[in-house]
Amino acid sequence: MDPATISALVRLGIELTGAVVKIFRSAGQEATAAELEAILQRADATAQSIIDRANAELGTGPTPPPPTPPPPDVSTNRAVVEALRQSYPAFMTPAQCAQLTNAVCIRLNHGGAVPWVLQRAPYGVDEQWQGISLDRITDYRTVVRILGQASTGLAIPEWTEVREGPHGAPVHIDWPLVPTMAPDPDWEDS
Amino acid sequence: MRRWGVVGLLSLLLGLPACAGNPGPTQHAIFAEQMATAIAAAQETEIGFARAGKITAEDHRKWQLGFKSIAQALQLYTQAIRAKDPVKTSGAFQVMARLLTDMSLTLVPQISDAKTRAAVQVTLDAISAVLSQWTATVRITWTPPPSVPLSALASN
Repeated sequence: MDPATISALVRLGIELTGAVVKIFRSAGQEATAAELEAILQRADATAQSIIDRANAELGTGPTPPPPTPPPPDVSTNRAVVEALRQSYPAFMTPAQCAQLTNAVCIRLNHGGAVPWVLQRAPYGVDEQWQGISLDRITDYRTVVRILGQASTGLAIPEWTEVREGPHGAPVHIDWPLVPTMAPDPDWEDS
Repeated sequence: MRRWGVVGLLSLLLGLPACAGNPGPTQHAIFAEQMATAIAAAQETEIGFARAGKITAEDHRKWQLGFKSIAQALQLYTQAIRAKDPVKTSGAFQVMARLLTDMSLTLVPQISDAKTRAAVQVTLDAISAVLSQWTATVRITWTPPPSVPLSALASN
């Protein structure tokens, strides 16, 4: 085997090992939407370079890259969250949360697999709901906790803007909320 | 023997993420990026062999068509990740795996030079190991399909 071949194979081995390490290290972690997009763009760029290189070898013209999908429309979700912030100026801490007896939770589901759910407090304290930021609203199965009185204080017109996903149909929410709604079985997984 | 050693080692290493649970979009994206890099390296290797006259011009054309198709499937994969669509993600992944299987089954045996054939097989087996283990990691079903004639690729 010539040195160039050995070099190429060693390089490939390093690349694959790097893939293993990166994937393993990232297990259980989720990048932000911007970080995720950056990774995907690098993958797309490398894939496109493979296509261009193949075209050059084949003597054919360049293949135009596929159209880039539009970025997720988070304006609706942001509007919802902003409305919540106006209604309830502060997202409470888990400790404060635990003291409430009439809180409402709304899950904005972005994957389409699990319908939105509404549940009534009291809930177990879940640290991951603390300090939720607008950026996380773009994540799959983002959970938004709304604190306050279930039957008062929420402006119905704003709730009609809640959607199941960035491009999904508006979610109909019955009003007032009823306590008989079945709990979400995988609520704890969120 | 060396070939299986490489594949076995990679499989062992790649088994680690499987213990970490069901991966999310981030893991998919990292896999896509690293897979693209690995395929690019494999393409470069094949071009080197072709330049050295180890692979015929006609086979070289088929190889490049294969790499091109895998890269296109990879772009569909990234689009599916963006859309957070598990069905399309799985579909694009399986297209990649199938193309790789086809290349391994139909193109490698055509390489007359034994050393070159072995080297290329190692390259493809390594990538196949990544794909297979990733299949197990994300818990999607991938049954290696019967070989599809490369003429299907040539029509692209």
